[in-house]
Amino acid sequence: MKSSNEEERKMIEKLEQLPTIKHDISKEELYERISAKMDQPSSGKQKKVLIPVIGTISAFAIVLLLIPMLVNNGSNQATEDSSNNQATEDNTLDVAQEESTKKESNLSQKEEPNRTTDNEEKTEEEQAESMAPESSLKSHVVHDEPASDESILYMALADRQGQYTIPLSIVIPEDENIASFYNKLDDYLQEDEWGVSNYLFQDVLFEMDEANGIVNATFPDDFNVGQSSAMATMFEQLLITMFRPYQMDLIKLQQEEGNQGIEVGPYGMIDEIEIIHDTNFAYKLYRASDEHQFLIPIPQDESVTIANALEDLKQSDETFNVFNSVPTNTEFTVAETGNTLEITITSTFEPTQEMVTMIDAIMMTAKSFGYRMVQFENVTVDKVGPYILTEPIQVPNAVNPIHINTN
Amino acid sequence: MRIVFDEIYEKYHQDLYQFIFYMVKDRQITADLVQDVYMKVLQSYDSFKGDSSIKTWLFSIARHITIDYFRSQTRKRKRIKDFFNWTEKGEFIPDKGPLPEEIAVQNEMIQQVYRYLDHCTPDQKSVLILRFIQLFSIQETAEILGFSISKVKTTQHRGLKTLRTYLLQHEQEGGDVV
Repeated sequence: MKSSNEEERKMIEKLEQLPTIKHDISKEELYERISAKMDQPSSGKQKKVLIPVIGTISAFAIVLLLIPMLVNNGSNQATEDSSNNQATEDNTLDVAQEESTKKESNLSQKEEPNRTTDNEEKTEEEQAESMAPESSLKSHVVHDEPASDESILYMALADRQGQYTIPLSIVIPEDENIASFYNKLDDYLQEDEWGVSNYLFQDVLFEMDEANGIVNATFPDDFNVGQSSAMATMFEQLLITMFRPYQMDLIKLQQEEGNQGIEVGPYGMIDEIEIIHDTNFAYKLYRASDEHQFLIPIPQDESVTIANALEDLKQSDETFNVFNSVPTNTEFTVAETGNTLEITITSTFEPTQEMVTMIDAIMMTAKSFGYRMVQFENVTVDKVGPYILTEPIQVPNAVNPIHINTN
Repeated sequence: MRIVFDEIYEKYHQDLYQFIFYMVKDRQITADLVQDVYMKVLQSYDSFKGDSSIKTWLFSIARHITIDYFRSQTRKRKRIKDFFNWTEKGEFIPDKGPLPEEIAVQNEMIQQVYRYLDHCTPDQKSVLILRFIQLFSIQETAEILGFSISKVKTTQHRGLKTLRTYLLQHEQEGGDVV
């Protein structure tokens, strides 16, 4: 191991010795060239000219170079091993379901002892106002596997400013086909009321190849995310957020007419997006409507510890409608035993809605850091909302549930 | 537009040029791709919301444009490959062109490192160039590539391993390894 590190260090030193390469063109000349290019009717044209010319020249070169390579079968090419990505989420879902007949349907909130929905969450002020009766406390997460007659469809919306992804877990009847339900979502989503951006993929056809972990996404030919870098980033992040829980590894993008890849604003043509599974998140609250709020995952650097991430849950960024999910006066210490995270609350703990939301956020954050269970210590109550606090609690199955009743 | 151009040029132009050059290793193609990067940046600067630094935003655009260029080349190679029924190795084209002057004056070891960079995947190459030629931090590299930090580390490790393997083979066999 040590000698391997030593070898790596030597290799790095060699790379660092590679010389600086300078561009021998004046600033003025470069600006003139760019301006001239931009003044052309279609900026895409220049690129199309460049590539065929290079392509034609390189075609000959390639043939010449490939012939000796054919003879030499001993060469090998290093390839990225994407299979190394370790999935840390456990909310897998069988998506191979039979197509069912289309029904008139509506969105509903379904109250169940252990699986509640919360799109009509109270505002923070209301939450703090009183200790709500135990039965009215609502959770932002799905605690168990879906019931035998239900499935979860994972989807994501962007916040109004295109800065954060909001994952949603749509609970649909088991006999609905998940892939085709993505195209029906428009009937159920209430983006304006929820204070979020419109669903971006209404006309996009998704097919999941579970065996190979590949999602094939077919976009309408006129699909356009615009020229904003924020939207281009959001486009990628939304797709990753949607398909990460299905344990997919790669999203392949194509147009209806069959062309591989689609134009994604300043990123240019993108034909596939790799899904990274080992990202850590801190879950805070997004609220841009008086009636609704959602837990949103905020990506954390690898250097951020679970303790730091949980402490950060007390911070708000109101400019972006992001609010603390843990009350600022909450004090706790963090320890771990194996896959269990132990949280000792050292401040007052009352069975309020705020505390249920806090536990939801802590549980989801812990889940993204790879923990399977969370044990709360030193709490003065045995139960709050759906949580029994006297024993370790399993991390949730999914976040921000929305129940859809198609009957 | 001129103000934005001036600012980016003054702060990042040489770095931008160098990054693309080490990716594609051709001055003319680099010059064209650099212009494409500026065009994208100037066209979309108004909508840049500062969700990342200008530096990482600029380099992520540069990276996408470079990868697009590689993909367009790969598609063309694939067509030829399909025609002749080449093996997978046919997709890989080692750099056999003349060395640029800056590299030609270096010792043989550095020249080999430069050549064998092409045996890395585009992702590995991007990470190695950003980390050890451009001297960007792991965090900046992750933001530019849209990778997690752990993925940058893994890709970096694999890239270094690939380079080392080929350099070792080169030393043992006393000639170019393809």
